Order: sequence, then structure tokens, then C-alpha cells
Amino acid sequence: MTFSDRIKGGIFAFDKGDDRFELNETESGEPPVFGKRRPVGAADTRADIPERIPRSIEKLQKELERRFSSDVDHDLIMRRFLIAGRTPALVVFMNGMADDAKVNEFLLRPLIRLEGTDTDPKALLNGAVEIAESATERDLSLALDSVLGGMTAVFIEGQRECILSETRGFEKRAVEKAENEQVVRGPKEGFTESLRTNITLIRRILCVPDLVVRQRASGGRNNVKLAVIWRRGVTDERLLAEVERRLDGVDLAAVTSSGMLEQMTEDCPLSPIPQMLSTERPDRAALHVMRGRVCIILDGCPQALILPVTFFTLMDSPEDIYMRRPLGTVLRVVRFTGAVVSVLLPGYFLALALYHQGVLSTEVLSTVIASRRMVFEPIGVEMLILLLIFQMIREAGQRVPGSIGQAIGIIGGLVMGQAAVTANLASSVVLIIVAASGLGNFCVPDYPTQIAASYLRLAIVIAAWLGGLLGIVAAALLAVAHAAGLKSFGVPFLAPFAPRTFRTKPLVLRGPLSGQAADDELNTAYDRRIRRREQ
Amino acid sequence: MGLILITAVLLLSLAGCLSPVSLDAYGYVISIGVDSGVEKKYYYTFALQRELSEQNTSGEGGAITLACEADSIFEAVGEIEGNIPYSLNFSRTGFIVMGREPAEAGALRELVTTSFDTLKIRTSAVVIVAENEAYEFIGGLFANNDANITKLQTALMLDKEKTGMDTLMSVSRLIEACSEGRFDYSSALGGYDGELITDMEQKKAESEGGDPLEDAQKGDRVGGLKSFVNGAALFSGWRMTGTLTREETLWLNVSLGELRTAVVDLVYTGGGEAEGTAISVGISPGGHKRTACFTPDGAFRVIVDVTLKAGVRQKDERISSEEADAWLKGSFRSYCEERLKAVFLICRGASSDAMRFGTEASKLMKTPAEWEAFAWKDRYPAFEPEFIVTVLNVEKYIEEDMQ
Amino acid sequence: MRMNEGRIGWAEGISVSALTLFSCGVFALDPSFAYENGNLTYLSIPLSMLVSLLPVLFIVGSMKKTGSRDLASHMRKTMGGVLAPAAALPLVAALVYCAARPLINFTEVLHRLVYDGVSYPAILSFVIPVTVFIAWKGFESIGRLAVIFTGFIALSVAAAAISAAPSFETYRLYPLYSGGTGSFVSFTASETLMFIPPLAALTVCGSGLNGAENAGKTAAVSAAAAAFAACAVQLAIGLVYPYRVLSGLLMPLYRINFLSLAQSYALRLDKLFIMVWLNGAVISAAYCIYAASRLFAGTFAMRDVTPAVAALSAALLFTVMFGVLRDFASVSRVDSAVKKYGWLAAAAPAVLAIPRFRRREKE
Repeated sequence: MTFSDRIKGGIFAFDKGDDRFELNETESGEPPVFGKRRPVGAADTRADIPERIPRSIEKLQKELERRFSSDVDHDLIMRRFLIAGRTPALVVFMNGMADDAKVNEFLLRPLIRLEGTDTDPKALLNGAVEIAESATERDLSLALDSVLGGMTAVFIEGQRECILSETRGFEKRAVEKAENEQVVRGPKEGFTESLRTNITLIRRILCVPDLVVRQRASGGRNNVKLAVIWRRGVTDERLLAEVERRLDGVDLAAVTSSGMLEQMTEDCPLSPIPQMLSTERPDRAALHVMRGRVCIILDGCPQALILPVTFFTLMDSPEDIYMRRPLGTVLRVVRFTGAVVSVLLPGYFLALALYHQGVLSTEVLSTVIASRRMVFEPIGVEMLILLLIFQMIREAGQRVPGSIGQAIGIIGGLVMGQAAVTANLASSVVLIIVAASGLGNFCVPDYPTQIAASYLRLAIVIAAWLGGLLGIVAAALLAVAHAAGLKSFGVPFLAPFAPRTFRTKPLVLRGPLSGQAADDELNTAYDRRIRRREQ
Repeated sequence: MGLILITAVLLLSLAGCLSPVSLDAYGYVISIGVDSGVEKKYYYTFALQRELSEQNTSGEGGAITLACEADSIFEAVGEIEGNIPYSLNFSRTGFIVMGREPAEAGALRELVTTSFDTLKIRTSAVVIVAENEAYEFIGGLFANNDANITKLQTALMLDKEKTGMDTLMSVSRLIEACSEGRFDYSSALGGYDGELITDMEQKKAESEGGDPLEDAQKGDRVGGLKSFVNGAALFSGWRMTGTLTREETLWLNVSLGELRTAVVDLVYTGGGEAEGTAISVGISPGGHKRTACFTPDGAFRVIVDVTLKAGVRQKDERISSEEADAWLKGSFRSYCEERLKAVFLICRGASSDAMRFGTEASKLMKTPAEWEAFAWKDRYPAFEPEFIVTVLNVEKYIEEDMQ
Repeated sequence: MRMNEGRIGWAEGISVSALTLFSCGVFALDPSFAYENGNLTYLSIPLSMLVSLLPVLFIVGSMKKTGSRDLASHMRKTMGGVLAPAAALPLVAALVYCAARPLINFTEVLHRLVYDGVSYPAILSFVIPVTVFIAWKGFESIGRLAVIFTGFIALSVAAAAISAAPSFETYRLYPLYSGGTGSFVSFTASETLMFIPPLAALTVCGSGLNGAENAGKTAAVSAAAAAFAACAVQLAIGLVYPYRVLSGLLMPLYRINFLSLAQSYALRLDKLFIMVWLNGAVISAAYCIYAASRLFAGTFAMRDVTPAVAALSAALLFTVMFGVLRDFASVSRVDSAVKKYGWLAAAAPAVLAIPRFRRREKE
């Protein structure tokens, strides 16, 4: 050991405990005096008490007719037939969800034409059923859930087990371009509403044996499934346990979007800051899974959730790594500058205009005074109104489809701005500042983060109006303190900057493609192995 | 979350007290002028930057001048604000122009100590003493049709930075000089030429079909600003006690090591055919060292060792290079020493340690008590420094410098 | 238990501690006291930071003997449940005082020089709630905030000093020996009070730093870093303002930007700079309040730190209000009194821990 190593080891090296970050919700002991500990949801108990399948087909059919209101709703198809011409059986599937042809050709026909006497479901599965993805099931509730999802169940007289076959054949959207995360360079395809298709899209990119896709109930009473995707041996097992624990806690009437799941599982649901990354790009999701993150895809939702995330993950664009390093670096510098300008510029200008005029040069002062001469409202109100109008234009542009939306943006931005200045409703300087801030906001690649940034901008404008630079300091400190205390599934939101981690790649600038395989703040098993080896 | 809400409500409810004022509700005072009043103690002049849209149409320059008599600056501000639809803001004030009379009476003390923090005037503001009236000087400075009067002020300062010929010092230095007593303040001396025909007046006369220079007397300066820097004002403490001409200010700056580049006009005395002809010598600093000590008899002694790079600017065929070199290193060197000595005597006569020898004395003291017991101000009238000038003839260097 | 402590690493620990020391050493000075007999603060302040390290290292040594991870548990182990709270109270009070002192100066400067006709409570309505919020969020958040803002503060301080560089003159540092050795020693000794509590706070938050050993290392590195920074800043101040002028300037570093004759935007950023420095003072105050609350809660065996944070925040508000609303001179008197005798309070836990320390040695 050299002298410098000794110095480093003696003075600077810390005694290391567990190098993983603490999860917020695993704090133990008595509850606090103020506030409550976040409630931990009960696990799905339905699976714990299996519902037995009646041996009598007659009884079962009546039960199903009752449960599915067959007197008025005819979507549940129940067809009685004889296996091998002897044993009564009942095939059950949902009209429209299952593919009729598949049911007829690969399930009904082989069973009816069966030669033999063994009607044990397992034997039939081996000898008759011609659909590869088939299994037996003893729990009636689970079997019916599967039927609702598009599978077909075959109940056999005298048997407690049924055969479940994959016969899904409902209409679905084809894989199309990702609409909200477009890139000039790189893959174009986006997720669809089909869970199976989405998993396939990821599997196609990640051809690794350690990729694990676990399908489970979403927690909604609408029985929609979701898939948790991770890499065994890379993703932190403790993170996985936490993901499962939080998903267990989801208990909603219906889960129809990943946004609902996000709110139910994130660390601080009331925070405007997103704590998961929502993406519609399989390549982006795959890259994050490869780095040790967990991906959750909900059936029926074309956006995947990536977790845990940090501020810097949210500021990443897929294009950063598709472009060459110098270009990617410039892109990122512009993006971060845009974000800072977006959040701080209107508030800073307002603070100077209302409290600290001496900081502005005489030229700027004269220009602003001249442009505001006939504007009737105070400069703070003017700023807020323009920000509001900008937000409205943006919302309108987003809700209106395609080219009309773009036209609204142009008309709103150019025509209304010019008209407002001409009509003395706004001064040109403030208009320029709001426009620059709006452009900066669009530089933020993640939509929820954009929204969060625009809220923060609004808060800073109000704070600047009330207290000048002091107000900005107060608002910014509150915001940064909130962000500093925020965790996404136990990973500090501002990592690896605060807290510092062993990350070797630059944060704002784009680093080399080679190097650290996983983000250090994720405490991946891979990283821990490497670190142990180094120690 | 509750805490966040409480914080937000608390912040919002109490924060209104910070009373914002929109930037267009202010008039920005660029310069403050102080003259002696007739009925009241002072006559205050405030020069304001006019907003840009007005400048294009008025043709009266970029400044608005507001003035009134008052016993204090606060009274003047109140009086003026009562008659204008906006308030005065002093955060952009760059010049404090003192009339000669109030400067000699020590009015700067009152202005600086009572009003700077209250009116939020930055101590980076520069003091100029007008030879006559501050009102005139300010008017002369802003009389041209310049859209941006702040740039005018900045140009003056940049000129000082570039040449080191003027003595522009901030109020910070004035406060330091007066509270410490290690040196005395010297400010720029503002001259005013009321007869001068400005660029704007020329244009106006031309547009009316007249001859703008008809009334100009031969030999007068024409064009430019009516106000200009015309030397230095010497202070003893807060009071102005004397003046230096521009040429003397140059030597003051040489003694301080603050000269950047200058031209000295004098008569050639090196003999030969060129004897008695006017000659210009470019000078720039080559080194500056002050050695201070106490003599065995307890007297304080300072040797100012100045090295000047000098070169004859316009080449006269009658003077050879060798002659020029000999003259620069001989007569010119003596001339420099004489001028330094003469300027020191003017300063000492005004009881002003503008050459800052007190700072050298303070370096010899071990404790503040010892420094205070030294009583520099009392010793100064008997103090005699020694000036040693070394001239390096670097003609080409100077020419390049001057370009 | 909700101690809001979490775990922080070396960068956060050093940042928060160095930032607090720097705030106390540069922004919390009483100018009439510090520059009364000349200016040697560029030596005395760094020296007092290093001297303050000694009692803290002693506490760390004592904690290591008892195997305690934080000061509160160490005190309870060595003094028992009755004496420990009593012994902790002086340090709690000293920490609240250290939190308040820079805030008093900042409020005064904002009131006098930055805002026009604004009342003290109005300024404090922005400063105190933010401080309380950060203290409430806990040690992890404080550490991370410190890491984020230390860079900005260092940059702005450096920019302010560099902008004043053309005005640097060595004669202003003279007379070099200032008030002599006696004056130097007494000032250095009295200043240690400002630095012992923030350094001792690291031992209070020892669990968050993964143990007493780390707290000691953090204290050593942060004291060295803060001493270097304070020395550089005080030297820069000394090069632009002589001692007589300094003794009348509340926050000379703020005025350092007022020296340049040029009027460009970059040279008029003093208001922006002071706001950046205010961030440091607020984070430091939050750290001191959190540490005081953690010690209070720990020695009183409370299961939650937040009630103590709420109570001590009220104490902070009272102290700052008292400081700014009363005549400023009276604060200076309180200052000098506390500086004379206050170090005894800060050293109390360490002194009281000696018997246990010795007993362990015999074993």
C-alpha cells in the first residue's frame, strides 16, 4: 500500500456500512408523532383461498350463468360437448376476446374426436389439446380471470381441474411509431396496448437469458394483468421485493393506465415531481432494464413504467446515446440550459424588475420602461397572464390532433403575441422572456417533468413577485430540499449528484458509451460484485 | 404536507410586506450634482436616463435634469419626487459631481455618510469636483444627443483605465481615506466650456441654414462635450484643498505607479540644430518601487524609484538616435524628477497626501496603537520624499504602445 | 422511531460541516469585535476552526471507547438518563445560537442594503420557514442540499473576490501584528465557540455518518477545508478594506463588489451573490437546528425528532427576532459574553464523559 493510499484510506475513507440506500418505507419501530407512516397494502388474498371447481358440469354452468348474468349478457360462450363421445365437458370463452377458429380447430375438434377413455385433464393436455400454451387450473376464480383475459377453459364432468388454453384473439392496434418520444435517429416503434406484444418488443431487444418477465395481477378489481420485467443477477433483489410489496398494496376499482399504478406505488404521490419514468419506447425501456432498473408494463396501456429513476434519468433523451458523443454532449448542455432558463428566467427578471432594478443596465431599464409605457397591468400580473396564455396554447395544441395542433401553436405564439404587444396588453420584453422560458421548457424530454418544471416556474414567479431574489431563494430552496429528500423506490432523486456515488461518467455532458454497465445509484448486484472484488 | 401548506400560507401572508415597485415607476438617477444654494444650503441636480423611445423624438439628449435647492439630499429627493410622477432610484448612480464651493466646505462627508446606504447608492460611484458649478458640468456632459448617457460615463472611466492619466476614484476609496488617514483622496476635476459648439448645436444650425462655426473664435475647441476632465482635485480628509492641472495629474499618477501611457510635450534641450524645438515624448511605466524606512534620528523617509519607458514620438531628422537617447536619459530624466517633486510640493501645500506616502508609513508599524501614535497627518507637512527616475529609451515599444 | 437521519456519505458530511463553519467564520462575524484591534482574522479564524477540532476529536475518541454511534447515546451510556439531558442542553442552546448568528447578519444586510423600507419580520417570513422545512426534512436532505449548494457558494465567493482583485493592496493588511499576541490569542479562543458546536453536531449525527469514526474524519476534513476557504476570503477582504473601515462594515464580503468603477452587469451581481450565500446560511442553520433537535430527542429518549425540531425552530425564530429587532449593539454584547464563556457549555458533554472514558481504559 503506497503512502497516498494510506492517506486516502486513513483520512478520507469512510467505514462502510451497507452501501445501499435506505428505503423510505422500511423504517421500523414506533410511528412518528406528526403524520403517519405510509400504509402498506395487503397482498392479494384471493389467490390464498382457492375456489374449488364443481365436479358437476350442470352445476358449474348454472353458477357461471349466474355470475356472468347470461340472461342479459351473452358474451360468455358456454358450449357443452362430449369428450371422445362419452364424457360431458364444457368449453368456456369470451366472445371477441378469444379466437373462435383456434377454439374450434385446436381445442374442440381434437377433444371431440379423441379416441380413448382417460378424461383426466393432465392426460388430455398431453394427448389431445393442440395449443402449446395450455395448462391445468384448480382454482375456479383464477380460471375465470383467465377466461376474461381471452383464454379458453375446458371443464370436464367429474374433474376438479380444468384445462386453460391460450386462445386470445381480440383486435389490437399494430405496432406503430412512438408518438410522444420521437427521435430523428434510432428505433421508431412504440409500445401498443397489448401486454404480450409489448413484452415481445422488449424481448426482441434484450436477447439475454437473465431477463425475467413476471406477469401478475395489477391490483385493480378489473383483473388487468401487468408484467414486471427485470434482470436476474443484475437488478437489486431488495428493490424487486419493494416493487412487489408496493404492487401488492394497490387496491383500486379499476386499473386502466400505468399512471394510476404510478400514483399508487410512488414514494411521494403528492409531489409534482415524477418518480418513475413513463416511456412508450421499447428501446428506452430495454436499455433501462439492461442497466438494472425494473420495468412495469400494464396490459391495455402503451406506456411502460421504469423505476427507480433520478432527476438525471428524467433528463435523458434516447437520442443522447444514438448521436455521436460531441453532438450528444451539445444536445444535453442545451437541454440542461433550457431547463434552467425555463424555470428561473421569468422569476429572475421579475425579481430584478420589481426589487433590484440596479442590477439591470440602464439600456435594459430604458428598453423595458419604453415597452411597458402603455401596458396597463402591473408587470407581475403581465408575466402571470402571459405564462397562463402560453400554458393554454400548449394545452390546446396538445389536445387538438396533428396539424391543427401545430397551427394553434404558431397562431398562438406569433399572432397572439404580436397582437398583445400592439394592443398594449403585454410588453415585448416580457413576451420574449416568457417565450424563451417556454422554449426552454420544451427542451425537457419527459412530459411529466416538463409539467413539474412549469409548476416550479410558476411558483418561482410568484415568489419573485412577493420577495424578489429572496423569494426565489426561498422557493428554490424549498423545491431543492423537497427534491433532495425525495426517493424513487429507495434511490435518492438527485443521485448521483446529491448524494454523490461512485459514478464515473459525467452527468450533464454525455459520457462514453463504454464504461460502467449499470448506474451506480441502483446498487445493482453486478456493481456490488465489482466493488467487492476491488476491495 | 401539512407543513408545506403552512409554510406556503405563512410565506404568502407575510411576504406582501416586501413592497415591490415596478421598474417603470422609477426614474434612474445617473449623476448627482451638489452646488451651494442661495436660499438653502445646497443646490442639488439629478440627471436621469431618459427612456429610449423618447430620445428618438426629442432631440435633446438622453438625460432629464431635475434640480432644486435643499438643506439635505433627502429634502431634495422629497421636493423633486413631489413634482414628478415617479420616484427617484439611485441604484444606477455612477457620478457624484461636487461644485467647488461645497467640496471645499466638506459637503462630501454629509452626502456620503448619511445618504449612501439609505438611498442605496453604490460606493463604486465616482466623485468629480466641478471647477465651477456641478449643475453646469452635468448639463455639459449630457448636452449632446447621446441616447445612452451611462455609456458616456463609462467611456470616461474606460479612458482612465486605458491611459491612467486622470484620477477617478470611487467613494469606497474616499471613505477609506477619511476613516484611516493613511492617504488623502484625489478626485477628477471637471472643467466646463460654455462657449463650445457641440455636435448637436452644429447639426441644428446646419438644418436651419446657418453656419455653425460662424461665432466660434479662432483657437477655440469645437465639437465634443462641453464638460471634460481638467485635472485633479486634492482633498485633505473630507475637504477639497487644492487642484492639479492635467499635466500635474499625470505626474501624480506616475508617482503612484498608476500611469498606463501618456505623452509629455516639452522643449528639446539636447543641443544641436533642434535645440528649443517642441518635442513630444511618449511614456509608459517600466517599474515602480517605494522604499520606506525610519532614519536613525526617527525621521520617516521614502524613496520613490520610478522607471519610465520613454521614446520621442515624432521623429525629427535633426536629432539623431544617440542624441535623443542621451537627452532622454539626462535632461528628460531630471525633468521628470523635478515635476514629481513639484507636484508633491503642490499636494503638500494643500495638506493632501494624494501621493499616499502614509500607506508606506503604516507598513512600518506593528500595531494599530503604534500607527495612531505616529500621527501621520501632523508629520506630513515636514515630510520630504526622494524621487529617483530611471528612463529606458524604448522608442519602438512606445510607438507600438501608443498605436 | 423517526429521527429523519438516514445515511449520508463523505461528500455530504464534509459539505454540510464545512459550509456551516464557513458561514459562521465569514458571515457571522461581529465586525466591531473582529476588527477592533486590526485585522488578523485571516489567521485567527482558520486557527480557531482547527483548535475547535480538538474537543470534538476528544468526544469522538470517547464515543469510540463506549462503542456509541452518536453523541446522544454516548451521553446516555456514560451519564445515565437523568444527567445526559441536562448536560446536552448547553450544547443544544449553543447550536441554536450558531444557527441564528449568520441569519441575524444576513437579515440585517438584507434590511439595510438590499431591500428598501422592508421590515425584519417580512424578511424573516421568507428565511425562517425554509430553514424549518429543511431541518424538518432531516439529515439526509440537509447533507444533499449542502452538496448541491457548496459548489455554487464557492463559485460566487470566488467570483466576488476575483472581481475585487484589481483593488487588492497589501498595505491594508498593515499593521501586520494587529493588536499583538494577547489580542490574537483571546480573539482566536473566543471564536472557537462559533466552531465547536457545528463540529460537535457531526458526532450528534454520528449514526447518519455510519459511526463516530466517520464523524471524526468528517470533522477533520471539513475543518481543514473551511479553514482554508475562510483564510482566503478573509485575506481577500483584508486586501480591499483596512481594519478601521472593516470594523464598521456588517458584511464586508457583500461590499466587495462595490469597488469596481465599471458598471457592467457582471460587476453588479452583489445582490445575486448574497442570495447564494444566504442559501448556505439557511442550510447551516437547518443543520444546527436538526443536530440540536437530534441531541435533544436522543438524550430525552424521544421516539421522534420532529417535535424537537418544531420547538427549537421557535427558539431560532425568537433568537433571530431578538437579534434584529433589538439594538444591534446589544446583540454584540450578548455575542461577546457568549464567546467568553460559551465554550464551556460546548465542552460540557466531553468533560462529563471523562469518567466513563477512563473506566473503559482500565478495563
